Amino acid sequence: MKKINSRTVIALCAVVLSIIWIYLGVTKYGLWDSRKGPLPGLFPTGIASVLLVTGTIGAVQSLKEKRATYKREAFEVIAGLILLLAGSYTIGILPSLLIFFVLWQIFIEKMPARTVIISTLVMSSIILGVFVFWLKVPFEKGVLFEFILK
Amino acid sequence: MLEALQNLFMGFSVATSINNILAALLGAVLGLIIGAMPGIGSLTGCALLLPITFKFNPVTAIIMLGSIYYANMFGGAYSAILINVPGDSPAIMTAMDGYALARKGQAGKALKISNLTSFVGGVIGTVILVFLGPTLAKFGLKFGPSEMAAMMLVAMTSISWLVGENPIKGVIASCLGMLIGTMGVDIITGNVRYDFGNVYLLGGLDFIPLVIGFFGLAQVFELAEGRNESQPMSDDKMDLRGGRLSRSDLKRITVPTLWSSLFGTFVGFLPGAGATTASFLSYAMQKKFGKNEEELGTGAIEGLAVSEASNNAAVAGAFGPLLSLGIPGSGTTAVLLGGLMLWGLNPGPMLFESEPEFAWGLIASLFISNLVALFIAMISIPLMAKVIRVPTGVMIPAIVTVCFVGAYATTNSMFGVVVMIIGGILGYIFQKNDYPIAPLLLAYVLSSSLEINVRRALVISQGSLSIFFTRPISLVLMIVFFSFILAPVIRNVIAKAREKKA
Repeated sequence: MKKINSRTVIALCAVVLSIIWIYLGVTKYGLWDSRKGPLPGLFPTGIASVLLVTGTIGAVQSLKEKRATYKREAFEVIAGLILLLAGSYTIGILPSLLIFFVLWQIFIEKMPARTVIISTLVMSSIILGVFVFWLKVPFEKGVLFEFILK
Repeated sequence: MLEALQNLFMGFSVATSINNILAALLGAVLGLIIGAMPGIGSLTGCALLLPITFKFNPVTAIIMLGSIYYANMFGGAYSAILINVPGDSPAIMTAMDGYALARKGQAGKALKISNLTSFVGGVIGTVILVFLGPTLAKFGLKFGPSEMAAMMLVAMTSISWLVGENPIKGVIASCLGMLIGTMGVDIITGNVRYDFGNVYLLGGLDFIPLVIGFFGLAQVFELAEGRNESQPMSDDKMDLRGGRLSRSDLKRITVPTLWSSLFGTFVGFLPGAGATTASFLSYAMQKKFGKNEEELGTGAIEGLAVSEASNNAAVAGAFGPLLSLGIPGSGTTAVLLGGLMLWGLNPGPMLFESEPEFAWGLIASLFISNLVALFIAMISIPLMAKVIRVPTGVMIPAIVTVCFVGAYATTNSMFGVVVMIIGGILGYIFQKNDYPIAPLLLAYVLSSSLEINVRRALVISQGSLSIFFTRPISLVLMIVFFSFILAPVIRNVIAKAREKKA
């Protein structure tokens, strides 16, 4: 028996999404009104119906396809992103990014200290110069700093 | 013709303001740097740099984006020539002869030819755009809702079939893009739909964080996975400054540059066939019909010239359907269309009538961007050689940082960052499983226009689908649409039948 792989999962997710879209389109938003014409659910339901058919074909086809291989390095990036997100909520976006930028180069990439220092200085100037001083983006300070500032 | 020239002069008066020239200059520098980085490319480059343009008014912002796009194409050739790693897919053919020239110690000459032919291609493409753009728009004025809807279907399906090997995956990606595009307020009735009770989804999923995730962050995964693979590095002793172009060199590249520029522009005008197709086809034609075809691939300057001239001409050509019909021909122009929409501009047949200053300002700025990109590219050859050597270990955290900051800056909320991260992970998973992302983006951008036109057509026909098959233009477009759908199916059936016979 052929095994389910990530290609199958994507196709099945597409099928599930299409069913949700069709269900909401038909029951909640409506398809056609004899007086008003097409209702908000018509177009999404039509597209979702095409997705339902192609998603099903895609799921069947995927069983014959080779399995996709994922490398450890990709999971390191995902872990880094999750930590970065958690850090942004607690200590704020900019400090988290700075810590991420430095630690990633030191521990994951094993970059020489000189490269780490130069790249951090360049990157910090770009982010501060463009986004903080020029675009004046009000970056999230994080719950910890918000607490201290209170 | 005279009217087009008058409008172009008016466009120059808009584009040559100090602000706009500075924006074009900044865009050229950034685009060149980002484009030169191996594996980044114009799509990722435009997606990453889109938030920076928010500071400007719409005209300046789009001028800057146009400049970024052009400079990206110039920059893509640097890594192709110097380290045999194309910065973007259109530069793949550039690497064939460019890198061979570099290995022969003629890196400087190769870069100069690349810059020069890119410039000529861009100028010729833009000149054709000046005359064909408004003509296309006038033709577009004849389009009713059914014709516009059919045209959009053609655009979406053509890119789906071209990008992916498996057409089913292209359709799935396109449908997913359209479903995402239906989230939020229904433009016709004003009702909120598919928001799942989340206040952040009332206005739909934000375009920029999604694009940054799908193209910027997804690229980080690719870089991380490939960082241990050895890359052929350029010889430090390469002659970057030298390599004067002789009269015979110029003579050799003149004709190939001119025909490939014309050809590239027309390929760029076709929906779905962008710079990559233009450079591949031009190179193939040069190999088949050119004078010294046996030299191609071993360092022939003609090969380098046709590849670069055609891909830059295609960039200008791609602005034709984008501005005149509101239909992006490639992933990068879809990002530009998304940007235009964010600034409240609606490209389409009426753009030249309703926003002439913007339309002609942008076209005029393409000339300026091209000139600026050439100037910066020529003077920065030694600097660019250093840029392409930025280690992947620095590029990974740097791109993550720009993605994070960019996603936050455009939405001023962490929700944008979350959308960007989810988009990035999905983009990576899609790439791993051979699902093309460009059709998803294109479908997402075109979704609302397609829906409006389909609904208007159905109102006119009182619910009958026959409206798409009874009007001449929409009938032709629907035939093209169904041909696109059926062609791969028929091809598969024939291939299977041949396999059985064998």
